[in-house]
Amino acid sequence: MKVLSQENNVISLELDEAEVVYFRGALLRGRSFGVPWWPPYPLGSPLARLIHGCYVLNRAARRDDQPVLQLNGPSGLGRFQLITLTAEDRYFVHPRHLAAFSFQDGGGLHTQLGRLLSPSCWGIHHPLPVVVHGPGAVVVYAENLYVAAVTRASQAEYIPDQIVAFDAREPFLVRALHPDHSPLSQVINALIDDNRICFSVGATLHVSPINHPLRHRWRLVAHVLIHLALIPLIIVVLKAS
Amino acid sequence: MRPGVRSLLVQAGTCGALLLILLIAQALLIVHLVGRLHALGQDMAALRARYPAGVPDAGSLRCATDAIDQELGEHLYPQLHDLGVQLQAVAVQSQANAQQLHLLEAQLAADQTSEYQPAPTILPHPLDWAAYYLRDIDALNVRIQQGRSLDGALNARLNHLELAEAGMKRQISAAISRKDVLAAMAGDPQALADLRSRWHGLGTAMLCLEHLGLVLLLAALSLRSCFRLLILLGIPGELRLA
Repeated sequence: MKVLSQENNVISLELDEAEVVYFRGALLRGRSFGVPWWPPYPLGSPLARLIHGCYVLNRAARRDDQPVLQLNGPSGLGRFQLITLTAEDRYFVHPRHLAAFSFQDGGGLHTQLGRLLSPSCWGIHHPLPVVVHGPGAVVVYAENLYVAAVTRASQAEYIPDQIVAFDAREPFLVRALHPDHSPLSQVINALIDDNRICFSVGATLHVSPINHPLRHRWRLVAHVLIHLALIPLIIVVLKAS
Repeated sequence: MRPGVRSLLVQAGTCGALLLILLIAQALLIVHLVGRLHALGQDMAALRARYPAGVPDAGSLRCATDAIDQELGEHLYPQLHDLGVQLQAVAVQSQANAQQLHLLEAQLAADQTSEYQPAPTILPHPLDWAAYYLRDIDALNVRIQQGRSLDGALNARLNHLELAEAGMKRQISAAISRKDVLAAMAGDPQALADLRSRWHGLGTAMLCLEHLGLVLLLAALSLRSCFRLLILLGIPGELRLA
């Protein structure tokens, strides 16, 4: 799979011989391919794909009369990125940003179940991270998506929702959102479910710089609401039993 | 104290307090929910033991109620009636015997206090012979002994019959209460369906699922809180996903 052209919110992909691409049907204008019966790779990260709406995908193969697949994003600020993987490559990809993929033998999506007890994976909001194994190619889509190469330590910190994909072989470190140790900062750190992810110099990431000004307040409210909502739920269940 | 250790302790004290409260509450809820799950399992086992062939439906409950009615009408009430008749007859017999015994004892007392009269040399008139014989103290004593033993036997029989009557009344009241319970069950299809659902385990399974869902949710929240505490303390090191 190669990128023929890429504009703001549109990407044109040229498919190789005998290559089969699976992609979100919503990204195809006209939807001429139809939805297949059976989802592709039914055992490749099924829960994550189900949650993020890419369990059942459309399928496209190269045809002589139409060797190009054009994908259109729903957002005016959207950008596509093609990540080409060799057999040794491993990439962490947020399933929400997965737009299309095509794997050869040995490649695929894998959920790392063993990371469930890793604090760092909970810290990046992916207790069961989805890692893409090569060989193959993955297309990711996000608003204002860009490739960030970390050259200075000061550039290497992101919040989890900004991360679209990164090389899984690169080490990362999860730290509290507010680095100062004042009691107020610590209380805010405890209440707001967000962290900083620190990458080492040399790492390459696909980043979507979403940072809504009310985002942290909303997370604080959501965090409190989750625990408040649990109270009536527990009461209802206990009364029913 | 080294500044790093002190800073770690301050952080653990400030941010850990909030998370620890959450953790303790979640752990208590998990323990409680697991206890409820155990109780639900026991309830289902008890229902299975009580209704080994399944919870009956309204039709078979009505049949059972009719059977109890039939048993009451054909066996229990007639037996109670027979017992009452027997009891009354024995009581009358006992009363008559007691009266006769009383008379004999009075006669014996009168004879013992009257002056002894020797047997006549001339045989008495046949009509007086019986009177003469009755006056004989030995004969009176024998009759009194017989009367007392009969009284004892009648009393024992009376006690036995009374006990049998009380047992029969208990049996009848148990049958009536059983009939009432069955009629109430047959008249409440919702409760019957609930009981059947609990017996089959469908209702229990749904409750178990709800409980398990809550337990998993709370466990996930607890785990997240634990890991969050570790992250706030800066404990996790570098990680490579591959």
